[in-house]
Amino acid sequence: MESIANIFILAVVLVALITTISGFFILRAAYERNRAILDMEKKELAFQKSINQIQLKTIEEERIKIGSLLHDDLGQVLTLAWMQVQQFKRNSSLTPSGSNNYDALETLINTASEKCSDISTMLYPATLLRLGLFDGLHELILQIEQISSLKIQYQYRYVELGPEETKHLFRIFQELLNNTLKHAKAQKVQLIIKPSAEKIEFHYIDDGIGLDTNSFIEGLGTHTIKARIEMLKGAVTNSNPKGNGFNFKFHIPINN
Amino acid sequence: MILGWRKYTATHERWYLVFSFWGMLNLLCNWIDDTLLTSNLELLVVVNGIEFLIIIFIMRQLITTNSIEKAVSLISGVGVALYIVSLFVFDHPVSPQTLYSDYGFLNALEYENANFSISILGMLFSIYVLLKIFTIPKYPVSKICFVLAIFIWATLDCINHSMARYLYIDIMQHDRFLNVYLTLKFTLFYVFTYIGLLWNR
Repeated sequence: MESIANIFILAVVLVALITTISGFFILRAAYERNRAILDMEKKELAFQKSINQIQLKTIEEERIKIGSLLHDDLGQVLTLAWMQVQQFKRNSSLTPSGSNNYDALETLINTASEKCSDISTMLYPATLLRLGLFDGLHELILQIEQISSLKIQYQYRYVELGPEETKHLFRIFQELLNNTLKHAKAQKVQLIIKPSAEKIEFHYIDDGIGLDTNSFIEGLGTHTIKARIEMLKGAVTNSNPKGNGFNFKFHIPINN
Repeated sequence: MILGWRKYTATHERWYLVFSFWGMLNLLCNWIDDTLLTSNLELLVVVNGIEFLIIIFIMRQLITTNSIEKAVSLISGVGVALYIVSLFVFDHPVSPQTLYSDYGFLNALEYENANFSISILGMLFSIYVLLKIFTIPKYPVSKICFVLAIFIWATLDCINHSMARYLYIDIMQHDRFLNVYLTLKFTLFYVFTYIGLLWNR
């Protein structure tokens, strides 16, 4: 009987040992697999980020190129055309109907020139180049207030910004204002820029219909906003309850 | 009990409270066994039945995406409950009088049969869940510990309840076997369960 008991004990010990060792191997395998997946995800994220950055850079370069071509080349051609028409009008003796035709042509050239200037400004505002972000935003706000009923309250304390920051921050607010105009059904917008010792805080609020935090992050336009903030090594800290306006807060480090 | 509560407060996943409940059940069972009952076969069979229901519940929580069919868990749970009730009502298999409990409802052979069936089902559930887990990417390692704990618990129970009956002739040898078996079973079961409850990632 004692030998049977010993055999049973041995059997139990062996099974316990085998299951425990297998258990630890299973845990280790699961751990390694999870780590490999996480590593891969990190690499994919980094790759995606670099692609986003290259894309944004290319888009910006193309915008500047097209903007300056429109302003410097096409704009000049249209100005010359307008001058030619003026000269024709002065030097020729025209019948009333002929004079009307020249007037119409002059108006068309003027309209084309204005459109060209508007597109060029939208692609890359001249004030942004000359005066920086704060005046560039001011100009953008004035333009929006002219074409819509939106009231924009703009508060800022001046801080020196580099060309990269200026460019990306301007595009971010351009996109946010565009979204408000298109989707929010808002009456008022508040735009606050608050620099401190280590960082610059940006707060954008509208009183529109609001949206889900998730849908904000997933939207196509807002995807580039997020990418731009990441490029500036900043972070989003937004709370955005549905139906209670749109509330977007982010900050970038000051040494950027 | 404490670790189950701690895990619940850390993760806000309410199902972790089942570990606290399990701890309370064990505490209550030991207390009743030590103080109220002179014989424990009936108590242990009922407690093992409840533990099996807890296992089904845990397994279902562990693979919510590839959940165990409701029908399978329902049939197993109700089946085990009915089986335990039938053990109390019918006297099968019959054993020598010395193997009956003081209350006369169960004998040691019925007890071993019931626990053997429960452990086989527990083992099948844990193997199924373990295989399913490996199809889920980034499955938390801490949760695998629970499946392993239950798998070891069920496997060792399975061996014990299939073999222990052969040692009933000599109660001293049976005790010696139980001492080794119970120490091993509970040490391994609790080590894996505690790792699962303490591991945060």
